[in-house]
Amino acid sequence: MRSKVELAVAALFAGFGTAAATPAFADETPFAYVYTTDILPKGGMEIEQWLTANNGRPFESWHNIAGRTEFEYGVTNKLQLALYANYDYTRVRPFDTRAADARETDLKFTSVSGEAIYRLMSPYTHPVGLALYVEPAIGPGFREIEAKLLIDSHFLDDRLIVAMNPIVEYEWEREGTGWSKHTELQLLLGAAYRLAPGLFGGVEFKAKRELDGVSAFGNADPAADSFSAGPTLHYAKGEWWATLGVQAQLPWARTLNGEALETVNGFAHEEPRYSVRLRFGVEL
Amino acid sequence: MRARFIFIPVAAITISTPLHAEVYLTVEEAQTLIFPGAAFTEDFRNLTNAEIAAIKEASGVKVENRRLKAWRVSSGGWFLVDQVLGKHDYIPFALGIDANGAIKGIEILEYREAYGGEIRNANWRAQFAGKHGGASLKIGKEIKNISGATISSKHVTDGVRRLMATYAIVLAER
Repeated sequence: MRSKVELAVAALFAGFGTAAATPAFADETPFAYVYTTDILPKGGMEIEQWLTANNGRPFESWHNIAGRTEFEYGVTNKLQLALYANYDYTRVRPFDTRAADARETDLKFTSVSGEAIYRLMSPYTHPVGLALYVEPAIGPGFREIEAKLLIDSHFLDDRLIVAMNPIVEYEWEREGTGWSKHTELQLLLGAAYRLAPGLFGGVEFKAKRELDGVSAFGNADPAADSFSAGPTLHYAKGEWWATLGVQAQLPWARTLNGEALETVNGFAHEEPRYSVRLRFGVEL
Repeated sequence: MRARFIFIPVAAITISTPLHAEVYLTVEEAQTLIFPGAAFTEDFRNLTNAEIAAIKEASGVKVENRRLKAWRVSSGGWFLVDQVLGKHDYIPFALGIDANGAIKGIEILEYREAYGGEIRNANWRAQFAGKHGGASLKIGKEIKNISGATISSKHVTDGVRRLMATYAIVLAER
């Protein structure tokens, strides 16, 4: 049976279909994980690079570095398109028989993603900014589609920015001759304050529900809930900007499918205990 | 299957790009453009706490700098210089107010942002001429937004509204 929260997040997307995958970035935002409705103006171009270091899973030494290289283009003042490559490095050393992963050291290209963001309202001219986000991804033995609502609002002469992203993500991974299917529902929240010209400090929070299967409406089984939070720092000058964000998993994870190892000591197995993300962008 | 690849992007993003930091006008040049042939007498002053509060109340915009940079104009009126935040950096601008308390002109002195430089467009700035400030001097009301330069056009408009409130509260003859 679906929870009310799950249905509410899914319903947010009912009006504009589905989409996308792992996190990507609109235009410059003061957040490392949360998107805002800021997009490039018509004809604007940007190259963006990000690296996310993920660490910590139960019963194993687990380190992952996920990379993304993105090119963004402002088609109109309301529509931004992007294309990017995703790749990652993973090193696993199990030290307990209960570890979920096998010993592995792997550097691989994972997928190519497209991204479209259409802004309906700007927070600079409306009380609330609103944009639709869709991101399909395809890679060797991997398919993903993710949709987000980008919602933000500005206060104190645009010095304080608060933002929220409800997200639904469907993922297919090749397993033998078949496909393993997963759904993720996420709610990202962020607040950032302009400390000085070009410098923002903020906090971000993520609530995530993992489901087995690819439907948020009835054919997917909730597996676990997890939560994380942490600070973010953003600096921009002229054509370039950089954002550093840290997320620590909070010990509030819940197992929803009865499998004992979905969560261990309040932490979800599938989520890293700590993540550090660095984003760097240059406007061309 | 393991696919090896090259980390191209780091090299790509280190390619230097042109800087957009531009000084368009000095204060003297802006004075001449707005009030041709006039002489200017510096009349800088520090705003009191009560004045700052009144300006915030009247304009809805926070006063960032207690120091008011104002010049009396020989032909009547005032020439003011202030700055507002753009996306990342400050945008210094100048405002001319005629002897009747109406806006005579605005000039952007410097612009350091990658986008939004359209606020220098003469047609956009011309919208301010003849206006007396007040709550309706806002983007979407008396002043049109520049799509693609929303942040800069909004903040400059807010800055002009703040200076017009400053003029009414601090400088205007009573």
